[in-house]
Amino acid sequence: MKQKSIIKASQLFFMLYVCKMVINITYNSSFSVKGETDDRIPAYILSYVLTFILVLPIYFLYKQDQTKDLIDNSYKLLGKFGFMIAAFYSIYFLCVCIYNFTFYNNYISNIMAPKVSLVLISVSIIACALYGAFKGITGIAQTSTIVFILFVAGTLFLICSQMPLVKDYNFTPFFYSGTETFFTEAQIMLSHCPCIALIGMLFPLVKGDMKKGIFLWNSGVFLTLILLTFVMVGSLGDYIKTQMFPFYSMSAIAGIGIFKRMDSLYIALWTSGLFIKISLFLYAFTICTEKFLGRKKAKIALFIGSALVCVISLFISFKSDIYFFLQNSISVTVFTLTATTFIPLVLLILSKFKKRSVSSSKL
Amino acid sequence: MFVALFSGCSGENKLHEKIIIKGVGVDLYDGNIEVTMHVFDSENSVSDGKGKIIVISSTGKTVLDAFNNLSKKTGKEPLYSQNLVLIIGKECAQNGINAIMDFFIRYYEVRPSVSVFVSDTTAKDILKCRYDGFLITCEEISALSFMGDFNASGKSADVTEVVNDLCGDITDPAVMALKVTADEQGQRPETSGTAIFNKDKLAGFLNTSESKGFMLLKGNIKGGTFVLDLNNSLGTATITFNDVTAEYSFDTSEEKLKIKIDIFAQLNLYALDNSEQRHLPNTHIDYIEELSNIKLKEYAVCAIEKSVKEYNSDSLNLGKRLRLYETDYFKEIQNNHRSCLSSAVYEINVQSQIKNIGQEMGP
Repeated sequence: MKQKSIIKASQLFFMLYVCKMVINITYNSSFSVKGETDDRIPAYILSYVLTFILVLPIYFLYKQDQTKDLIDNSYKLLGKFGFMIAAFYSIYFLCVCIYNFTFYNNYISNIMAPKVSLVLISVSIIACALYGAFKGITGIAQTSTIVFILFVAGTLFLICSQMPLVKDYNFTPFFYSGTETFFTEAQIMLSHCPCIALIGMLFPLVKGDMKKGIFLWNSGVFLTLILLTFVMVGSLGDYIKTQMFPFYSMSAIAGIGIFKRMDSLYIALWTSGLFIKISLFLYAFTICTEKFLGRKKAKIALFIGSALVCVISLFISFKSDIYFFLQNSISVTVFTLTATTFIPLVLLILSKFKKRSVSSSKL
Repeated sequence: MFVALFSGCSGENKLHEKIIIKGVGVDLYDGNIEVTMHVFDSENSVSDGKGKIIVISSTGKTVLDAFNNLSKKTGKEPLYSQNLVLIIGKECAQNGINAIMDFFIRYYEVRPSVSVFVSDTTAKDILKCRYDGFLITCEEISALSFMGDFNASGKSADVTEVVNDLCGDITDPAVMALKVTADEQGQRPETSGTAIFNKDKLAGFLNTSESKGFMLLKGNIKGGTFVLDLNNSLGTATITFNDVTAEYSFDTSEEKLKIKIDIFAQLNLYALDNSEQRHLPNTHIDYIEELSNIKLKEYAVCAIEKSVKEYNSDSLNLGKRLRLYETDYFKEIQNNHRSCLSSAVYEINVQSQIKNIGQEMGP
């Protein structure tokens, strides 16, 4: 855990792009969204705008003091009560790992039809992610750049191979079956943006233009999602309604020339993406725990946290009731918004008040 | 991590303990499902590539039950991932294909890019064809599907297209029809046109020239020929399709729905049986284009008469087009849109353009 390592803003946003795309690809939309798939496109546009709004408190905290992360800010503003914020974020980052890992477990057990033991796959991935978190942010950032390039190449291949098969009649007018899909998808998209909280934890370690990075990251994510959804709906039509993981299904069909049946490669790629995401959030978990446990105890906490992620996500994977709850739960969205926006907003307001009171006392 | 993944190999059947399915035929037999398969015989394989395939049949209450019963005969586990074709017998198709397709949607091992055919007799007849003493392989049968767009004699379809058409009860599938032709050397399957469905039940067949019209209306012809009698000194001309597009517009203002279809056909002229003049004057080309318009319109009219009016089918995806372009009108007629389409007034305009003339500059 080399906290003083510095990464470039571009590396941070490559990591965040991979993190965001992994959850979008492995989450099971058919359980949460019942209407027309086309309505996801306006939902993505709304989420794109909302993400910019949600990131504002963290961005302004960053502008105030570029050397302090969210936890440092909370200790500075709340004194010893900053411990509560650090504990909250520690739990939050572990929950993000559990949430993502549960989705991945479900995806793997359906796609690979458990020929390989799910427990062993989970243990292997968590062990790799734990190693990544120990190596520190520089190692994760370098790996994620490679994964990002492969990810973009794979996505471009998908789009190019399916684009000629797009048929106009496969599209449905927006909101044809009501607005339920639109709102549900927008809400899910908001619950899938823990990366904003991650920005708040990592910005002291980043050098470069954050404003430009945030703009390009958010635009890149939603442009990819919109393009993938457009091509998927246009080429496969109602077929995707029968599929649990529509993006994966498209990869199983897509092909150009001899490059066919590439789904196994996509599974490998998405597993790498998950590794980046879990490593990164475990690393953020360590940053939080270090603040109130100290470095040595934080290392032990990292081991315990990783084990918890593995055990709880496996447990949820086998309990479909909890899995369905997680799929489309308002509480997940509220939890995410609390971590990404409400707490940073409170901290921002507190710091403004403190500044005012300091300047008025000087007068 | 690699070692952990080896657990997938334990307790699994080896390749020689599996029957590798290359093609599947489904028939109705005595109220049950009879599945006929081309399977790769790994134990008795020969080096020339032929003779490795054997034909096995099995019956059961459902498709999966029949597959399962196969293992009782062979003592081997079926492997579906190498399957290339799904051939449905006529009687089985008339009975409905939803139950059959469900297996091909749900089962994780089957590929969505499998080509789907309907036999004008039984699927078993097609899969048992032998020519020159050798079984016609599923690679050869699958090639008929790939050539469908290039010889314009039957509409090819794979599982994704069929499922897309079956979902939502708006459109109906259309797949390539096969028949068995025989000569002194043996039997081989041949494209006999297109099988048209009403919902999930086979409504009837289009012959090869009606299929040409059907594919013109679908706008997916990439090759194929038709012969024009030029009624003058030029004799007959053989025209090749280069590219075809079809545009639809709807007029819902009158009592009866009016559907205008504009077909744009780019053609090549590569064979003129009485071309004393090596270089065709423009007047001749205009004349050939005019005759082509008439001929192609005849094909299209025949296809509409049969598929839409006689079979009461929406395999041209008119319902989905109406949903997209005339949404309010479609909502009104959604429950009986097939009868609205069969009573609609169709206006077909064909605009041909000779693009290439061999050994001459194009017009």
